[in-house]
Amino acid sequence: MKNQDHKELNYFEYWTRRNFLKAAGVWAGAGILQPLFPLIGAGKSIAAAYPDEVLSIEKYTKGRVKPGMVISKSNAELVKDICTEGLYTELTRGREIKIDTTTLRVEAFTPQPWIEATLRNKGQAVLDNKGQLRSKDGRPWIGGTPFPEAKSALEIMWNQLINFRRYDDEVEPFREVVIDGSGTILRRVAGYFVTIYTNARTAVDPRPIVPAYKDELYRVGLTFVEPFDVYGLSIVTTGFYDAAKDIELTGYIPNLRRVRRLPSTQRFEPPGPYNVYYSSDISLHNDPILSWNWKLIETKPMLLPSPVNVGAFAPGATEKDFVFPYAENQKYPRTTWELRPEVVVVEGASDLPGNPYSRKRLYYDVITSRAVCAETWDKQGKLFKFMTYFFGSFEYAGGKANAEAGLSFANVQTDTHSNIWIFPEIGGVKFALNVGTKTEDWFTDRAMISRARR
Amino acid sequence: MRQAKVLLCEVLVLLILIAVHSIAWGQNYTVGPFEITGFYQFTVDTPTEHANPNNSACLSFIVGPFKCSPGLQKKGGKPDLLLMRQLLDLNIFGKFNENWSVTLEPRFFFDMTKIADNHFRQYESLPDRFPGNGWMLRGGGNDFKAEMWQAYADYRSGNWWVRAGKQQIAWGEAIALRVLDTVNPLELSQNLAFDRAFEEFDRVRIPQWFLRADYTIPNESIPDLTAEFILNPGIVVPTILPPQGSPLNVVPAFLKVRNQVKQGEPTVGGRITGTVEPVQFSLNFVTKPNDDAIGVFRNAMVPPAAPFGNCLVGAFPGIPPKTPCLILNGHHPRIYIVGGSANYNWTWAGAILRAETTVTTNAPFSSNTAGTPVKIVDRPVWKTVLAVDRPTYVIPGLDSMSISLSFFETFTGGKLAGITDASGSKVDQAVHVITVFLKQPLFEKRISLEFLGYFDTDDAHWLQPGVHWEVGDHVRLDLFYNKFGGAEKRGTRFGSNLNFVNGPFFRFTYGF
Repeated sequence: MKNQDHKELNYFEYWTRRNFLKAAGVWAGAGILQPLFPLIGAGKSIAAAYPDEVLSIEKYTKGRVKPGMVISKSNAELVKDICTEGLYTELTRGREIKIDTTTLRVEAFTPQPWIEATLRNKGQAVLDNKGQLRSKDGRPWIGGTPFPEAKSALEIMWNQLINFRRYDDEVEPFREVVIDGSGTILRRVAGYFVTIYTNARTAVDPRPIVPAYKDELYRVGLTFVEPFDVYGLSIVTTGFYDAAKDIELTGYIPNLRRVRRLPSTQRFEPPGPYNVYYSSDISLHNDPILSWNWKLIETKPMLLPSPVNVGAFAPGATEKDFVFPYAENQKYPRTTWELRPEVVVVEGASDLPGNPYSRKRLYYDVITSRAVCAETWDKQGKLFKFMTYFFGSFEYAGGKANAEAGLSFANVQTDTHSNIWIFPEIGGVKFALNVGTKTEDWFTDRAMISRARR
Repeated sequence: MRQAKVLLCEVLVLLILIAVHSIAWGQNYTVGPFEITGFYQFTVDTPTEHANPNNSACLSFIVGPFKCSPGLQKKGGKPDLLLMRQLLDLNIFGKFNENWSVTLEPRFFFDMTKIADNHFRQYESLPDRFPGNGWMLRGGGNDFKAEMWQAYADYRSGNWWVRAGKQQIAWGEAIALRVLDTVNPLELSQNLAFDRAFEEFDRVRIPQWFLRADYTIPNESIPDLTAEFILNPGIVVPTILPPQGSPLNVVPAFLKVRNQVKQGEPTVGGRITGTVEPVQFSLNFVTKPNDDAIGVFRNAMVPPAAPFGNCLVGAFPGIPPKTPCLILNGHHPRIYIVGGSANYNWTWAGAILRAETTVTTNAPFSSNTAGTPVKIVDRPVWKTVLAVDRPTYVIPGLDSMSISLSFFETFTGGKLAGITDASGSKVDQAVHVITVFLKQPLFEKRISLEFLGYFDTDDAHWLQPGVHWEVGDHVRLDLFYNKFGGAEKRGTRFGSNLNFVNGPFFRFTYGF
């Protein structure tokens, strides 16, 4: 039940006071009116944890913005103070988004095993004096969001990166279109990526750890089937549980007909011609957590993507629908956004060699314990990239998913986009989640050669 | 007539491109479970120095070696072309289920060199004249050839992987240096191995009929410990050299080598691979017939000799029958190779260190008496490569430059007096080569500047600068230059003996 006193409170005055409390180091974490996670644990909506003003965009904007409205160039000013700078810039350039009501249930974004593990293991996570994540008994983390009521930027980043997609394994066929500022398609790419998490597993045995790979956190294998000269090229990235240890790369190079260990220092370069994103940008942040310095900036309500953006999984969707439809000729595929009541802005900086970014910001949704938007600025302090991941609820051959349906990387300075859609199937490889993928079947040298398409 | 043929070819190519474009814009072409990709490529390679001296290398018992022009060419002088060729290379991949897949790679060649350049007589492009050549699945005439380059099936189940069929097997860490990567012979007849260095031996490593079986051995310590076994039951393919009279011929005109390829000689080998952090390693063994033909004198044909005065009278009318011909039998004795490789991720330096070594216990050489190879002897040969890959930001504001450096030593043991290698050259006890490969992407990786430098410390070098341009999804343009030089002239060294290859080559590639 909501506290009547808070309902009377001037909301903005309240936020100012919360920011002060945060800066003083006594920020209490999730929820405003009451703790959030007991509500989630009880299977209730999060409405009781927040005042109406931040659960309803109509109330928050005093009636100027309503669910169902389309925001475009002509009325972008209406949402300027709840947008990221990148989203606002794109709205002024012609992007159109639809406004939806705020999703009150975390299950719309996050698979159930992850939520259950979070609730079960709440309070068990600690950071050691080097910033490494452990369970209280000293073992690696046992699954779920480690710090549901995060108190520091580093805790937020562990929440973000312990398992960005919240599934123990995934197979995700994809299509990418790179489109420039004038709307010309520069490049089409297709392939699939396969991911396995070998620590903090929540749904597929062995849990929570695969003993043979206990020092790793994940392996991601990216295989290309288009264009023709990268057909069969396969790159496996191994991320380690040690958040200070650099990733490792191996690749099956079709021209060489063998698997080869590759240097992993080219993180601030596009992986292929025309790509907008760098290797470092994948999953919004693909570098070891402790190789960057993180700090909290502020907390506020913001527009973030709605879970209806299911892209190629939206049955019958056309280019006109606001679901991130597969629309290769559109620089800004139409999407739906909603007001998220509590978004923490986390900022990072790093001296890694070749880093072109002066800073990076992730917009962390406290309720989902995950950021799905990020921005970077160049060394001159100008906005450089705007990155968005679209997670949603959709049906697929294997059942129901609360998973990634698409992603978009924008170079705001050149207005070039890499838009990427996840597909049900490409090249005989089907979308799958938590199917018991094994490292030996996909990610070892033998596996890579045996699956080679060329 | 010649120009009309060229024009007809171009029209045919254009029609194919239009058909492919209309079918496959943006997405692979599929037929049932099969996915078809590939490319069409047009290559022009032109020499800048002089005619190939091998084609005019004659021998007189009176004056010794001399230049006989036009020799094996139809017209004397520097030719206009080393290669003008159209190539259609298809990759057909069929995935039937999680366990089974099939890969086919047919290739179609149209060598237009002889059509476009009247310096040359008719010779067979992409020859395969040796006993048992049927298994190469190659057919056609002098200019046009079709072949099934690769054709194999893969089976995966649990810890097992088996690949059976016509396949390439590439081992080792070293790139463009054949240390462990010697399972398959090389097809050198079109452009030797001097195409774009970044493509290494992919287009010339001859797929052979192999059974390849891998098993990942369950154990506590090394999760990826894998044993591999390879077997070619005896379908032997030798190194395929350019035919005599062709622009890239490497056999002097006065020599004829009768390749004694013995079918039924198996290739057997295996390796163990794994990772013991932070090192990945392999231990390798293979035994096979030697790829290169080792020459042993058979007979000399001195004029006048019936039916031929020299090797090529009859095949090339007009060559005067006053030059003797030496005929050699080219043998492929069995060799045994053991070796290994390792790589190390030197994270502090942002580099990968690589090492590779082999010992061929009985590498074959010719033993010479009075300058004539009379028998085959064997010597142990030890090869070692040390290499480092280190992407480096060289030019501010640009992507990093890929830099690969390697040091390659070949050590031949035993007595070397009077012995020669497959090219008929004297053998040094130690040969040292340093290679450097640079690749600098520009314009968001749309263009890359590439450079290969191969430096033999006995004063031989091969330089290959070039540019690769990716235009959209389908078009690739390459412009490269080969430069051989140095005082070293022996056959197996990349010195000025190869300077007839010097010159630019251009490739237009359309992929789908």
